[in-house]
Amino acid sequence: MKWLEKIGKWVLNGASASGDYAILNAQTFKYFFKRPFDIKNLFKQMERIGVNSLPVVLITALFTGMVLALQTYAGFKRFQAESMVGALVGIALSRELAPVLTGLMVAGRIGSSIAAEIGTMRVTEQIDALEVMGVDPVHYLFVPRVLAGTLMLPLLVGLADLIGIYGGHFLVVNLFHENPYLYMKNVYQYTETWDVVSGLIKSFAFGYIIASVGCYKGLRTRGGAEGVGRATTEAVVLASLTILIADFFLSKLLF
Amino acid sequence: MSLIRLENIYKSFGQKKVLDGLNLEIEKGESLVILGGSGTGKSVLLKHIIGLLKPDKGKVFIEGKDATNLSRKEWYEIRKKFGMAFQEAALFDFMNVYENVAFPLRRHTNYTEKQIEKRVLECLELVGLSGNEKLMPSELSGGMRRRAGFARAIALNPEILLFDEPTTGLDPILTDQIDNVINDLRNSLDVTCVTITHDMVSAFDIADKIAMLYQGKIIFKGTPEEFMKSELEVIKKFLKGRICEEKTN
Ligand SMILES: Nc1ncnc2c1ncn2[C@@H]1O[C@H](COP(=O)(O)OP(=O)(O)O)[C@@H](O)[C@H]1O
Ligand SMILES: [Mg+2]
Repeated sequence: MKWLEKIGKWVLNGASASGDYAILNAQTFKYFFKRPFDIKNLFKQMERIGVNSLPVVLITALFTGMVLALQTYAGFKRFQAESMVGALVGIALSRELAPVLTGLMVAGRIGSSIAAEIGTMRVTEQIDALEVMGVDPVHYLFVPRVLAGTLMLPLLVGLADLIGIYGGHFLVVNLFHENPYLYMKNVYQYTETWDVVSGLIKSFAFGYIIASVGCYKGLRTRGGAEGVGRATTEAVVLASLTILIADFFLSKLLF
Repeated sequence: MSLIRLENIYKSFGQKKVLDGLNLEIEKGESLVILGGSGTGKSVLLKHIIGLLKPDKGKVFIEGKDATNLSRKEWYEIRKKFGMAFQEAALFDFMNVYENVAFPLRRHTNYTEKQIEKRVLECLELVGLSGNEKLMPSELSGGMRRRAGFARAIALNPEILLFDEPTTGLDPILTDQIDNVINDLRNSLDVTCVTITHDMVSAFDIADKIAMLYQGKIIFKGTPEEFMKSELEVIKKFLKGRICEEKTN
């Protein structure tokens, strides 16, 4: 009985949390179009989410591209298809690896920092202060972060595509001494526009998930500094899981 | 008609009853101090006055109008009458002092940058923080932070000022300073003040009415003289300096 009760409670909590998250999202959407538009804050968040994530994202992409080329080269060599490495790197990166890995890295870096920031504001009553001054925290805090996340992640993923493909190129040319022209020709020949575009479409969703989950977990923080720590961890875990699940369904939908 | 009236308010968090049939009236122009031990629900009471929390049962009247079930939007309107100074000031830690005080002005007025500057400097002057505009909240001492919070609270010329434990955690000299600032504000702004504290000394410094919160109810409201003479056992204990801690129920 005890554990049945526990499961029941867990399911109910999950359901009410998703409802809460959905409502906050609806409010965020409503406020996208409401004055005052906080352009300055939007740019600040774009810098924080986009520009400041560049090093992490680029290093991730570079090494992913390289390891992809390294592994597939060995495999493809067994049936004399080394030249196809470029095609595989291009397709795998643009459709799947660049969006998902970038999403996960940014979730770790930005999702957590948004949750910690807003969570700290919650436990130090800064959120209450906003409410008292007649400013809806969803409008003031959520909107610029969610917009910035949604806009910046595709840009990061676009760069990750390029860097990853270059990483594969670098490895194939310098380690395996293959023809550099052939690699790029393969990339161009087999990677279709839709591969890249669908990856970018997914990354819009991932950017939205990262920022909105971070905001949600932050706003619902309870219980002092410890609560902020918990909210931070939960934001990363929840955003990462949601990204992986959404990735599956979006991929199914888009191809 | 009283400015604020709380009628039979009940509020629990989970199993924990915090407010238990609380009644309180606050008259226009008075400086009310609400006393109570720590954890007795003083902040919860204040948050009911300003609509941050909704009662489980009971009603909140602001200027005679029932505000209990108003929407967030309607509360945002009402709150323009209020200024609230939080326990730890709750300054936005990503803005300097100037921007903190300017924040409500930027959101709710059409002031030009010049007018904003004038008002911000005026408010900072009133709380004795002139010259500290450029400092970040993390660079301020506890007393300065509270005063910056006061400046932000008065920026929009509120009719009602709420102070949540303005002196808790400050040494006696700073406490005295803060009490003076509160009295100055009251004299120069002609506002209704509601101050929450568990500090008897500052209570007598700033109150013209004292109310006592105990076990979720207001068990006493009267002038400081009446408070001193009260026959209630709890108040006698409180006066002797024994803080009544929250009862675990
Ligand atoms: N949002 C909340 N959720 C759960 N419990 C709360 C909440 N706010 C206050 N409480 C509880 O209500 C009681 C009174 O809190 P509070 O009003 O902050 O006390 P104080 O008189 O020291 O200001 C405390 O036991 C606190 O744990
Ligand atoms: Mg309190």
